[in-house]
Amino acid sequence: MSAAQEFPVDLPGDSIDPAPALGWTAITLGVATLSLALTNAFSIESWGADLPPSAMVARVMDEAGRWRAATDRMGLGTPRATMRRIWTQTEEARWPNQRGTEMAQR
Amino acid sequence: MLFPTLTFGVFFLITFAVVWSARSNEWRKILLLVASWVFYGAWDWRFVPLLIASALLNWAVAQGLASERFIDRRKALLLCGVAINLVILGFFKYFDFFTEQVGATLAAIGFERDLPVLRVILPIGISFFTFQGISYVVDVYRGRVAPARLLDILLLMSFFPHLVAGPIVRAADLVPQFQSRPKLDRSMVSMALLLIVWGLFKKTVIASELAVNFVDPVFADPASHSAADLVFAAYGYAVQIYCDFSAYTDMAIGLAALLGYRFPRNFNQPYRAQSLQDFWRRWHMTLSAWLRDYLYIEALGGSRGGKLATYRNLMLTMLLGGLWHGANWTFVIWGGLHGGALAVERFWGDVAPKRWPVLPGSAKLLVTFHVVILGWIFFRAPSFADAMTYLGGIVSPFSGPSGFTASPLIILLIAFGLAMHAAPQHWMTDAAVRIRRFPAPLVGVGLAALILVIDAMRFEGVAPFIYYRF
Repeated sequence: MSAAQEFPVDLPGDSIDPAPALGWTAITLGVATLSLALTNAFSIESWGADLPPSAMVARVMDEAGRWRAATDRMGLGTPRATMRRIWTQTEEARWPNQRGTEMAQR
Repeated sequence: MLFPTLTFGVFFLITFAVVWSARSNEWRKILLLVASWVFYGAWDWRFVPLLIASALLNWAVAQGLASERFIDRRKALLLCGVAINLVILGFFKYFDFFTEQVGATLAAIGFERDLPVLRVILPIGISFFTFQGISYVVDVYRGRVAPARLLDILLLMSFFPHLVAGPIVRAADLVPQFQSRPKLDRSMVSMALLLIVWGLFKKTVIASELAVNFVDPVFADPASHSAADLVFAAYGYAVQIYCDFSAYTDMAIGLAALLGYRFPRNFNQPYRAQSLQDFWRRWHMTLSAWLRDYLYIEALGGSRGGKLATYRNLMLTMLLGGLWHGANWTFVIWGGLHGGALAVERFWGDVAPKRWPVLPGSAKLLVTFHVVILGWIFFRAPSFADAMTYLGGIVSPFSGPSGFTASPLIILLIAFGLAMHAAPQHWMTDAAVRIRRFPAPLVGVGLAALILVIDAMRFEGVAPFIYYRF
């Protein structure tokens, strides 16, 4: 390693588990992927819509739509939808009188 | 294939599973190489052979340097290798620009000619992998690194996390890591996950929101915006480009770490710099170190030729650094501004009387930040004329339109983007040290929760990273 370089992933102190952490990493990524598949089916469906159209993509879209409907029925998509609604309201907020000025500029 | 997309997420999970399943280190590297070519080919398959040819060229030159004993022949071989790298870069990046400049010059002196403008497509990441190749052959020539095997050089130059927008990882840093099968530890993974999530937030929430809803419209038509809009859009662009580019390198460092490799830091709170020299030690650190080592010191002689030569070399280094970003006069002016400011700083350091009072740190920070902002206006503006219109709108605030189009959220994001430079420098390291003690399912759920929040806040669609076009 060149002495002048600093490597952000080198942390101070020993790792808690000196054994290779591949299993720990794989479980972390697996749980995260599964959790997102359950709570963020909206993004899976949107992703399918952005892919170049083909017979396979159409099948993926169908499955993604069914998956979203299923997770929505269980209420799993609610947290994302709620956060999205709040964020959109924040995006649309304006200073007092600003909207009138914008309309006048148009 | 952009990092913050589900397509890349699926690609990475498959790559992660396949690469860590490989039993031998050689197979591991071959699989990583194939994955890197798939990643690069997803943008344009036609340029994968260029990437391979560039690696073959640098490997062959390094082999030649290792076997050649005569100093003159070694030097000729080095110059030949560097020149071919620069010709490749020059053709793809600057051919049309220089042809247009020659055409304009000929027209100005009455010799108008139809010169061949090829509309050359810029291969993504060519500036980065070419600089990596040059540093490798120079380091082999200087004896700083031993010539590496072909597979290692192919992977060094193609490795997908850093391929298209850095950080510029030198052979001395990465090739030794390729020699044995890497091992993951929880520290590395904890920090990697934090870097990926933090990068995702900076790119998809801060940079995208600022770009689409404020900065792009103001820079597209500065004459129709008030001075307040112009000033805040300049601050907004400073935050946008930092969040965009540092997000890419944070994610690159994190992704490489999940595959077992360590990349160097590329940003260190650049807007808290108290001088231009300090800024360049904090901004795109791997490029500034490259420019310092291979251009300023190696090619131009650094400060060895006296004070005047030092000022000239600083200026030349930054002018060429500006041109590295793209074939446009605005980048040359940006580089010249930084070079001039660095030379003035050096000159003032040489001649300032010792008894003179020194500016307080906060004043130095403010001055440095605003010089950087001035540079960003030229960097972002489509042309020199647009940049001058933009600056004209700021310096004569009462002659242009009135009004203010930045929403409260935009102001909040600008403030947040600047405030993150005042955060304790090791907050992320401290957080990673805590996370590594948690059980994997808890970390997985926490990771998913953070990504879900970011996804709910992100702007629709993902714009390419700013540095993709460099």
